[in-house]
Amino acid sequence: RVEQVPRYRFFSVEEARTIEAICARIVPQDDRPPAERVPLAPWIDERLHDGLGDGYRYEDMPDDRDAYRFGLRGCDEAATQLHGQAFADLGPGAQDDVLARVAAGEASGDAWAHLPARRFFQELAGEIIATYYAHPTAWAEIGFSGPASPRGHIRLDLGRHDPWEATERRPRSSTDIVHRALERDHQDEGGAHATGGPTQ
Amino acid sequence: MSTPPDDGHIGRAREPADVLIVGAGAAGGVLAKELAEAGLTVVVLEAGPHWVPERDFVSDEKHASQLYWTDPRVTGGADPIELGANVTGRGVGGSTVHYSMVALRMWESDFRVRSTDGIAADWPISYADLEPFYDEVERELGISGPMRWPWGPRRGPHPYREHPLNGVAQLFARGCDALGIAWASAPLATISAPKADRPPCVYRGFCVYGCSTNAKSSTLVTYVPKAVRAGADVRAGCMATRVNLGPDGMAASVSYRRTLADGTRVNEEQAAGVVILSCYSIETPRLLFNSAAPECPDGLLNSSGLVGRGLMVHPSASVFGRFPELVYQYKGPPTLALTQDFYETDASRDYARGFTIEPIGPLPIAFARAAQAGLGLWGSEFVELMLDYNHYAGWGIVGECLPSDANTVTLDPEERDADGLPVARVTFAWGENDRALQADGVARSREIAEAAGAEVTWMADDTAHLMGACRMGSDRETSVVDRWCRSWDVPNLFVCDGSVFVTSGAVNPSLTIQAIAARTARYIVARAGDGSPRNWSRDGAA
Repeated sequence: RVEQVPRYRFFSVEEARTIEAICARIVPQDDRPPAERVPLAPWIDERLHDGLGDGYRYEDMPDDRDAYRFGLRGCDEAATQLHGQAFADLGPGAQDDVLARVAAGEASGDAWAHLPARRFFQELAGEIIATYYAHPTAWAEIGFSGPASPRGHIRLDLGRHDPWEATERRPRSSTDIVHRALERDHQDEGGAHATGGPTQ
Repeated sequence: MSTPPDDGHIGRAREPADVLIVGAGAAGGVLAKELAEAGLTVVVLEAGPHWVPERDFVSDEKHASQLYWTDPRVTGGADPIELGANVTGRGVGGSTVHYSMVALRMWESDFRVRSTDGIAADWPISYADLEPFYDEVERELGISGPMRWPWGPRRGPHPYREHPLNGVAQLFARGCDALGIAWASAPLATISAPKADRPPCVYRGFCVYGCSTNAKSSTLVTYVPKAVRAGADVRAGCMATRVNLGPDGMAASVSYRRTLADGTRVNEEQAAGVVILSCYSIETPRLLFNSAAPECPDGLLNSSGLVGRGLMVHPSASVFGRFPELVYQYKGPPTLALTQDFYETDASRDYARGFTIEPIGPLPIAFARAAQAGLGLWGSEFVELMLDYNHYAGWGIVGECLPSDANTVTLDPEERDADGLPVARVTFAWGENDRALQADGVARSREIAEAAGAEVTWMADDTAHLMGACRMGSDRETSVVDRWCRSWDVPNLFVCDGSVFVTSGAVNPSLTIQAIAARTARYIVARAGDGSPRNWSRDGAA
C-alpha cells in the first residue's frame, strides 16, 4: 500500500483522469508535494480489475464495474453541460459544484439513467475515504497510532496516552465544521445511510 | 488467504457422519464441540478458510475484508440494509472472528412479546429454558463482566472480572451519571485474565478486524479447537450447495464444492444421519431455496411458506460527540460499558419495546465513513474534521426491530454466483415502531453525550446484526423449526443459527445464538441415545 502502487488496468485513460480529479476533491492533498500524496484512484482501479466486491449490490445499482463506468461518464456529462468542459479540466470550484449536484442526485447527464447519482456518490466517496484512511500517512495526520500489535495499550483512561501515541501540536476543534454541516440541513433528513457503519 | 489445514483429508473415504453441520460460526462451532464430545462423529463444512490468528489477522482495517462474506448478494426494499462487513462472516469462527464481543442475554419479556405487548409473536421457549445454556456458554467463552448485573433476569457474577473502561466508556459513564441513568461495564467475549492457553486482552482495539492476541473468545479459538480434539472433521473451503433428500424424505447428504489449495474447485458429497444448517439468516434460507426438489418446489422446509420471511436487523444509529479531552477512541474493545435502562416497553413513550445503548470505538476508516455519510461532508472540511478524530466519542443503540413477513431473503431471479447458483436477495423496510424507537434512541444517546460534556453532536445511521428468516415456533403452520430447532418438514434436518429468532431482542444476538445451539446439541445427544441418531421418525417431534 505504501510502496507498490498498482498501474491502471481497469479504467481507460479518460476515466482515470476523471477519477483522479474526483479523488483530489473528496480528499484534497494539494498541501503536499505530488510525490508525497497518498495514491487513491489506482487502488480503486485494482479492486475493480480484480473483480472484488464488498458482498452486496443495491438493487437499484448495476454491478460495481458498470457503476463506476456509468458514474464517471455521468460526472463528465454533468461537467460538460454545466461548465462546458470535462470534469478533469474544470477548476476546483466548478468541480465541487458538479460533485455537490451528483451527491444531491441533481446532476444532469444520460448516464444517470443507469444508476441513481446519490447512491453512486455515496459509494464513490465511501471508497475514496476508506482508501485514504487505510494509509499510514493519513493515520499520522489524524493521530491514530496504528496496529499496536502485539504490545497493545496500557493507558486507557480518558486523556491518557501511551508514550508511542500521538499528542496534539495544534489543537483545532471541528465544532464549527460540524455546525456548518448541520446547518446545511443534512441531519433533518435523518442522515444519509452510513456505509461501513461502526457498530457490529 | 490461508489454505485449509485439513487438505490431507482429500481423497479419504467419506463415511456417513452421525451429524453434518453446515457453517462453523457462532452456532456451528458450539454444535460441533458438544456433539463431538458426546461421542458422535461430526463433519463441519465451512465455506471460508480456517484462520490462523497470528498469521492471518494483520491489524489492518482494509485488509480485514477477507473476514466477510463478499460473494455477491442483492439488497433492496424501501430501506436496503448493508451486508458484507456489517453483518456477515466467512471462515472458521464466522462473524465471531470480527464481532464486537458484547455478550448480553435476552430478557424474559423478549421471549413473550406477544403476551406482554400484544405484538409480534412469542417464542416457543422461555428465558428459563435457555438460562442454563447461557451459563454454560458464558463459562466456555470466559465472558468478562461485572459481578452484579443491574437489569433483566437475576443472574450470578460473570465468569471473568470486568475489563477497565477506556476513554469513550468513561465519558459514557459520566453522561449517564449526570442524568441518573444506570450503566454497567459491558460483558465481553474477550478474556480479562489467562484462560487455558490464551492470554488476556491487551486493549489493542483491533477487535473487529480479527484478534491476533487470541484473547477474543471467537469460536475459532474456543469451541472449534475442542471440537477438533474430540474428533470433529472441520472442512474449510467447502461451500454447501444443496441438501439432498433420500427416498424416505429424510435428509441424506449435502453436496458441496471444495476449493483445493491450488484454487481448483471440486464437487463432493457428504452423507449424514442428521444435518444441521448453521449458515445464518441469509445463507441458510438461500441453501434451502437452492435445495428445492419435486416434493418441495418452493424450497426445502418451506411448507409453511416462511423460509426467508421475518428477517430482522437491529436499528443501530449512533451519536458522536466532540469532547475537549483527548479520547483516543481506538483503544481497547469498542464497547466497554452500556445501559439497558430503556430496554422494555414504557407507557410514557410512543412505541413498543426498547434498546440498549452501547459505546463504540471506530477505527479511522469506520469513523471517516460515518462522518462522511452522517454529515454529508467531503473535501477540505471533511479532512479537517478528521484531524479531530481523537477528540470524538460515540455510542449507539441496539434497538428492537419488530418482525415483518414482508422483510425477506429470496433468490435473485437473475444473478448467479461463481458456481452458477442463484444469489440471495434481501428486501427490507423499517416499520413505524422501528423508526419511532430509533428516533428516541438517538435522542437519548444525544442527551448522554451532551451531559458528558460534548461540544457538538452528530448522528450516523446504521444497522447491525441479522435475526430471523427461519423462525422457530409451536406449530408447523407458523414456523420453520420447532423449539429444539428441528424442522417440521424433514425430521433429521435442523436449522440452528440466528435465523430461528422469532423477535430480535435489543441485544447483540451472538450469546443467544450460542445458548440455543448448546440446547439443540443437548437435545440431539439425548435423542441419539447410544450415539447413532439415525432413527429420526416423522412422529415424536417434541
